[in-house]
Parts: sequence; structure tokens; C-alpha cells
Amino acid sequence: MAPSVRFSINNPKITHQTIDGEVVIVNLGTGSYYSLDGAGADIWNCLENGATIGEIVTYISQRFDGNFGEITSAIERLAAELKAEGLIGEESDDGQGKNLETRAMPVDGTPQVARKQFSPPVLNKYTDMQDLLLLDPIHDVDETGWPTVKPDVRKEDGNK
Amino acid sequence: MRADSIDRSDSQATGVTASPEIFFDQVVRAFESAERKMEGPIDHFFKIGGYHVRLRFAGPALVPLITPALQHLTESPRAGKVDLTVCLWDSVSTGARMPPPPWRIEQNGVRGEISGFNSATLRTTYNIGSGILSVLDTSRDVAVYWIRDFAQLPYYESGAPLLTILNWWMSAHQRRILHAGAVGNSKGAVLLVGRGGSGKSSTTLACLSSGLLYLGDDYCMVSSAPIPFVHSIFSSGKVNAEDTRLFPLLNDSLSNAARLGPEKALFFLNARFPQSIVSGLQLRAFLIPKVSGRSETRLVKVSSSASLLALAPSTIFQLPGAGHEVFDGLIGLVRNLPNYVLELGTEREQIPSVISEFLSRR
Repeated sequence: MAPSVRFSINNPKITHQTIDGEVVIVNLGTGSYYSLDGAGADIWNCLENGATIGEIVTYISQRFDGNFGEITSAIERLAAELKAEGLIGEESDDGQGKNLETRAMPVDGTPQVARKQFSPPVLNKYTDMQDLLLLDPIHDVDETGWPTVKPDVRKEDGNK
Repeated sequence: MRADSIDRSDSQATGVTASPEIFFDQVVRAFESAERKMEGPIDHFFKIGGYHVRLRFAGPALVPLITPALQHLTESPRAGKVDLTVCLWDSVSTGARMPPPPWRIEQNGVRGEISGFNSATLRTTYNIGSGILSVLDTSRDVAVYWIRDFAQLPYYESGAPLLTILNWWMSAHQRRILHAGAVGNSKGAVLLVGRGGSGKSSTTLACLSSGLLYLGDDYCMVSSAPIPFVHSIFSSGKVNAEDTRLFPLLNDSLSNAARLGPEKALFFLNARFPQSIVSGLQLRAFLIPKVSGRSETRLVKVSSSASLLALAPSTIFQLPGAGHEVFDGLIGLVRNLPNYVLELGTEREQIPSVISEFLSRR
């Protein structure tokens, strides 16, 4: 993956929130939801802020102790996974570094915060909500024009 | 009146349109037509989340299917201000026809939202699975709830009726409906959060049977100002059919004994436990129930992100139109209140005691 590659969150289908260093991500289109913590949460927030892969590698390398090559490949792997899940989309590099959070970094690049050991991020995926969505419902249209689910395929109320 | 005698003049007069405003007006006129056929409305009044809500039924067919879960919030007929009016009807019992949907099937979203028929003031969903149309005009504080045949209303809709309309309207009034149960005592309430099957209902119903106050097993409403507060919406409860043996005190409240198996057990609790069901309490904490396999029940502190993960996705997917604002509404609450996993032990009688003791320390 080229260092200049930049991604953006696939809004409005994707909604997300970060709290206490963990990100919760919801795909409104598929019913899947996800969580990321540790370096994964930092990487997500960098992606949201429009950082390139190269910028994210630099940022994470300065915040975490770890092998540079391992960090690079982990970031690329996570970005590819997030893209495959439809959570982010690739953007062309317009050369506009956006709002990458650098306040914790002094000008010499030494982090002000204590460095943590890098662990390859894991994207936790949950699919238990998918039954609640009306994905491709098998339906008839009654004589009044309103679609109805065929009685033999009418679902119970999922997990409600 | 049965479907074969439904009056088709309304649809012939109105035809198919593509404007949400025109569609809403058509739906209101169709309700008024149903009202006339049934010789006037039947009004029921409820105080929900502190707001005065009038349910206006065209005919009696839907009344026993919609009102039991709201019985604990009943208020006297109001001559004064009503905050929200919901007009409810079905075509089969009234003989009044609903205009055909003016949208294409592709516009029917996965959570029932109708693309192109939602705006700043108008909301439209049609749930193909339940066959329920919900429309709301927030500028008029008027909503319409329609199903083709009252006899086809799903049993779970009776347990938590009008959820979509209430969620829309209450969201604009600093109230947020959550997929959560709640119980409490004089010191306040805990919100029980988690996906379906996590133990919310069995925990809340066990607490009700043992004397704690009950606010709901599956859906509650919260507000954050001036203090975190949980409002009851439904005085119903629902458990898997095989679990009814765990709640012998609830036998008198079971509404669907003849249909257990295909349906979960649905209890309407207000008649049996009027003193234990309350309309609201101060919110003290978020608890995430988890079956532990151990004998004892205990509370284990967790991060606020754990509550957010347990609560936000299931709320978002169960409420059409819900999205980022659910996160926005929850983030302050889960940050500012304590969050615990409630490890559910096999000695079930401990569960209410642990919650009661926790609240008593608040």
C-alpha cells in the first residue's frame, strides 16, 4: 500500500464514536458493528482525520514501541480490512494534510506521552444485529399495493 | 367489516403521488375516513416521559392490542394541551382503505425507513415484516399508525407498541429511547443493557418478583438534564417460552399462553404489580448482564466503552432512523455514570439483592 494513500469514513452509512480509547463502529447498511482499541483506535482516528498511510505510520511509531516494519504492515493490514468491510473508502491524495492529531508531539518528534508497546490491532466484528434488518425481504404485494412478507417466511421478532 | 368490502374510493380519489407532504395529508384523510365509518374516535390518554400523549383510535379493534403495555402511564382524558396525538387504525376492521404507497420497493430501507419520505419535520417508515406504517409530522405533533389488518398485528408489537413514532417524537424533546431494561428502588435505577438474549428480561422480571421497582425489560427512555433520569415506557415483559417456569408469580400476567413456542411469553404486568411499576427514577448506573456459570452474582467494574458497545448498536438497529445521534445522546451518560458487568449467578435469588445493595450505597 502506497504511503500516500488516504482514506475517508464511508459516511453516512457508517456511524462511530470513540470513548475511553475504544472505538465503536456501526455499519447501518449491513447490521454489522465493530470495536477497536489500543493502536487500532488511534489508527481509526487518524484515518478519520484524513491522514495518509505514511502519516499514520509515523504517528503510531512515535506513540508506540515496536518494530517499524511490523507497525507499517499492521496499519496497512487494518486499513485493508476496514476497506473490505466497507467502513472506509480510498481517496486520491490531494496533498492536503488534514487534521492529524499532533498536539502530543513536540517539534523534534519525541512524544510527550509515555510510549506503549505496540500490539497489532484487532478489528472485533459483531453480526448479531443482522437479523433485525429487512435485507432483501421476500414479499408479496397485496391488492391495495402494500408489500407484505409471505406468511411462510414471516420472521419472529429477531432478538427483540 | 372484512377486507373484501373495503371502500376503494379514497385511493381512486388520491392516486399515487411522490411528495411526503401530500402522502402525509392523504394518510390523515384516510384516518379521518376510517373515523367517520366507525362513528367517531376512541381516545386514550397517557403521560409518557412527562408528555401528554393522546392515542386516537378509529374503532375498537386495535385498542386491546396497543394499550395494555401502556396501562401504567394512563391519565385522565385531557381538556387541555396534548403534546402528541397518534391516530391509529386498520383497514380491515374499519373498511377504510389506505392509499397505496407512493414509493418504489427499492426506497424501503433495511430498517423500514422510506428514502425520500423523511425530512426535517416528516418521518415515514413501513416495516414490511410487521406490515406497520408509521408517519409523523413534528410540526403538527401528529402521527398516524396503520396496519392493514388488526388481527395481523405481531404479538411483540403489543409488548412495545408505537416504538418508532415515540422514538422520533421523544428524540426531539430531549428523550432518548434505548434498547435496555431498568429496575430500581427508592435510591434510583440501573439500566440493564445488552443484545437480545443477554439476560435483560430475565433479570428485570426476577427483580420485579422480588420487590424491586420495575421500569421495563426491553425498552426504556432516558433524559440527561437536569439529572440522568430513566423513564418507563412499557409495563410489559417478554421471555422465552421455556423460561416461564422461572417466574411463577407472573402466571396471571401471561397474555399468550395458547401461542407459546412460536411466540415468546408476553406478560402485561401492571394489573398484578401496580405498586411496583413506576414511571421514572434517577439513573444511577449501567449494568451489562452476562451469564457467568458461577453460583454467586456479582458486579465487576468496566469501562464506559463496554456499555456503549452493549447499548448503542442494538438501539440503533431496532429504531428506524436512529444513527449518530444515539451515540451523541449516550456518550455523556455512560461517561458520567458507573458501568459494570452484572455477572449473573446460578443462584438467581441473589440477582435482585446485588442490585438492591448496589443502589442502596448510592
